[in-house]
Amino acid sequence: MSVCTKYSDDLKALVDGELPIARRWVVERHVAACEPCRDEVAAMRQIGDGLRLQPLEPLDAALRARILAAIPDRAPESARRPIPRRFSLALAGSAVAIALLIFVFRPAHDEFMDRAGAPGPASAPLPRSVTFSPVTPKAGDSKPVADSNHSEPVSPAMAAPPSDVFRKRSIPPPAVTMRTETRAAVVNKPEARESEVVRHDNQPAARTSGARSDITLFDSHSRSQPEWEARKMPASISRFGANLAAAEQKSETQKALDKKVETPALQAQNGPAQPTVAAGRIVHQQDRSKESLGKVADKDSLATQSGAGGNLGIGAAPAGAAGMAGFGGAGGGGGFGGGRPDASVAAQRGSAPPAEAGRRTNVNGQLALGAQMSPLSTLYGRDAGIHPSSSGKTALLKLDVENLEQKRGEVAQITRAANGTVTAVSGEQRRDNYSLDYAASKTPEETELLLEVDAAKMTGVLDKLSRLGDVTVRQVPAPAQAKVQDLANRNQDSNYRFRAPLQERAEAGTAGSTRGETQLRQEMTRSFGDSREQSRLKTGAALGRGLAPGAVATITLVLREKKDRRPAAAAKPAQEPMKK
Amino acid sequence: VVSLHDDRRLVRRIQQGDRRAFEEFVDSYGSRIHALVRRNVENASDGEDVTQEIFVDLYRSIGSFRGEAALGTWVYRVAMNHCLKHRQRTRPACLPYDEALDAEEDWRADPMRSAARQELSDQVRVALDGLSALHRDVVILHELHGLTYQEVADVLEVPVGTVKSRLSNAFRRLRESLGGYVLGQGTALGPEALGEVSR
Repeated sequence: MSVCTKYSDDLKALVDGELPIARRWVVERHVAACEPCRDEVAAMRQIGDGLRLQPLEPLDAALRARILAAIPDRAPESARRPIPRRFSLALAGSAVAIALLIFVFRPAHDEFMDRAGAPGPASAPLPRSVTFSPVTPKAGDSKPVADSNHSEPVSPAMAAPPSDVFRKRSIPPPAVTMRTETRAAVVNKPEARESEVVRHDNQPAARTSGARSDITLFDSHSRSQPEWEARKMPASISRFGANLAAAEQKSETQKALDKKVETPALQAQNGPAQPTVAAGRIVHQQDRSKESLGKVADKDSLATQSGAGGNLGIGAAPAGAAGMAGFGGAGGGGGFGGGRPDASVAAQRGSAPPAEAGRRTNVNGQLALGAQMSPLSTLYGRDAGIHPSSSGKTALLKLDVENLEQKRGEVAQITRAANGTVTAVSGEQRRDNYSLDYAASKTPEETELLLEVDAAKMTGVLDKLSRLGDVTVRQVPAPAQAKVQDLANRNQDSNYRFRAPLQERAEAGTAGSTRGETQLRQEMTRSFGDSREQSRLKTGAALGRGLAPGAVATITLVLREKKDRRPAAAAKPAQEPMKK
Repeated sequence: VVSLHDDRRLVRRIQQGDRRAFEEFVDSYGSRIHALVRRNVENASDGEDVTQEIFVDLYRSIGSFRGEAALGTWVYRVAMNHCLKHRQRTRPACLPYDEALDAEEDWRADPMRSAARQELSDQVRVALDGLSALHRDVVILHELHGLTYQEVADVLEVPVGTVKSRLSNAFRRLRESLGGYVLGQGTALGPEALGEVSR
């Protein structure tokens, strides 16, 4: 009987109905005309039938009872809470946030209203507790901002107001907005300053437009920021608290920088509102220590501007109120009680066109708010969160990437099987920075993942990871360093043995002419025949052997897009990886 | 066959500590998993131990099941991992012939057909045991447990193309092993004798 191999690999898939339509059509046509293939198909069907003849026995009752007896009485570990409860928690957190906002702002607001609108000397200076300017007034300055001359700088502190303002909670953060509005009124009608203030304060619409102007202000400034700057996460989430404290001390630099934004502020009053995601980035440029704060304020101002306010109802609060809620840190804003970052999502939908920016802001917002787990968990899985690194010196953003792209899911599984984690570092980012591209980009050409795995299992992990991308061992426990050095020495030795003589011959003009050189070249090829990647793998394999169990190795995996994408794999409990 | 929705509901109940739900889960997957284990484990008592281990492990880790894959796929993957671990521990050269899995059918109705089917089944099983572990796993999961190529790929953590080629190669080898037992060349296994199973 003749044998046809043209579609031999497709015949079984044809029998199983697993061929794509186009391919199936081609193979079916071939099978119809090819007798050997018809026989093959018939044989496959027959064998399959023979296999399926074996019946499936019901589970033995004794074994069933044994299994059930072995099940612990308690609920499975790490069982996730049902979603409705999470929602209810978020709602409760939102309600508390709203109550807090009302409680905090109402007295100051009422006091301000009383002072500005109540009968009495209209020209009486407002007390400092209701000064509009978020810029800390100079000592002895008894004039309210509305009375100040117009050369006084408009502070961008909408993005990063001094924290003492918030601590005291006596100065309403919407000051920038109102002050901007007031200033325009004062220019034309100096004697009507106070009434202008009152009028604007009484009009929610005016307040909203003011907020929009502020955002435009920062936006116009942020356009000059480099793209990478705009994408960057807070420099160090672990230093968030320190940043907060540092921001409390208003530096001279900050004051000087405050002045620089006066012009954009005035331009913003006249120009159309164009809020963008990068709004508020100016704070990042001004003072890196305020980076996180600026982003929080930025986000919250966006949320307010968009009128969404998320499920927190921030949209109903004054523009600065949202910023204040964000600065509440422990309980404010989107991270309230581990709630969902819906506010920032809503803000993004309202103001930021790029879809990926939404995710970015989610992460950003969550981190800036200093929430512990939930929002990241919502996005990236139960185990996601901020954890101390193995060294304890830095905080690493660890993402459970299973919810992301398929290939990354494989990485997560591999590392999980090795009792490891995936820490996201991408592109130019370093360990003290956090890449948003990793989470935001849907199909990046190249993604670098930082993995921490059990060193004892590193060999197997490297073997599997090498199928997914380029692998380099970045950091290994101390006992393995000697092996690295040893390998490097051996490479150097090889280099000395082979390359140096060749070079000598080349210099002597005898290259390529002797049999000895051919031999040498062949030897060298054998020695250096492995690709760099393989060498790296060998290095990793060498490192993986003999390490104490429990030691953690840090591996960098560079994922590049391949044509043949593998399917998403299912969740897998932590256990030994399969070896085939 | 439980639907995806039912699976999710079942998982949620188990995650909440509903023991009755886990009993349903055992009833649903117990026989399949035990059959899979028996294909990979040498003797019956070891098979029961492994099956029990699998279900205990499933119970412990079901909290981490997020429903991204089908429940069945996840269950099979866990089961396969346990089987592979057991296989690595014991490393049997060849799986023994197992009488316990024999079909008990009423041969009196049609003795000839029954005998033919039994013979084919036995021969196929022997041929299957002669396959390499890689090929056997794919054949068992696909043919005996009805997993799709994609599901098999998920369970074994290999690309779908690999599953396809392994199956193709496995059947080629099975055909070689079975020789005259296929395509009507064996007298007892002609198409007419197998008419019922080919239906």
